[in-house]
Amino acid sequence: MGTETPGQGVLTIFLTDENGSVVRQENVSVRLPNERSMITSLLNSSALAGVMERILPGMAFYPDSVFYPDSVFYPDSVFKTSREAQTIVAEVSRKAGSEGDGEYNIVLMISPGGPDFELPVNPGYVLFNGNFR
Amino acid sequence: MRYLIILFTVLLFTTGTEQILGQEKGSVVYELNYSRSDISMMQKKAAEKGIAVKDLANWIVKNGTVSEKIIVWELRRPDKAC
Repeated sequence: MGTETPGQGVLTIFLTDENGSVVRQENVSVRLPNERSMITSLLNSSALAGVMERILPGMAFYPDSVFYPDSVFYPDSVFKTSREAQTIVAEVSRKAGSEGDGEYNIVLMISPGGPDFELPVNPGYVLFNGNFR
Repeated sequence: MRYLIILFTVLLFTTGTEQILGQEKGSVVYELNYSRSDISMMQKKAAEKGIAVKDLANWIVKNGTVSEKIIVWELRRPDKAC
């Protein structure tokens, strides 16, 4: 049983407000998994920490109870471009804004690199709602 | 001349069908997973003083999993009856 080398992908970090507007956005390169993997084996934690410090310097995050895993982000939808995949980030952020007490959301999206995908992709998402001080 | 056109049309149709039937299609599904109990624990700990952004980044990397599922289907010619 051979193992393939994982490809290169992107973890996009969005900071969105309760209206669904993207306030800030940054990309971090990740190795894409062959199968189920711990994130720690694909991404250097200090790389993500550096990017998040750049987005929110010296801030503390107060998470609300609203947390959206993958299933909320239209599980059956596939996208052909990175831009298409990002449109639902705004939509789900508005939903989180109306359901949670937090004014902001941190949304992570994992997808292949580049603006166009070779095959249609259903990216991996996760959303944390909360406030910053 | 008419036979030639018919022959050419049949040839074109056959070639096109072969290409369509042999084509592979599919999609890639990624999942970014966190356990709800891990999230709840982080929320409780951060309730009073919050969690520093740097620590949140470390938490995100250390507590999550990513999975990739490639769904491929091939349009095949129906099996011929014996």
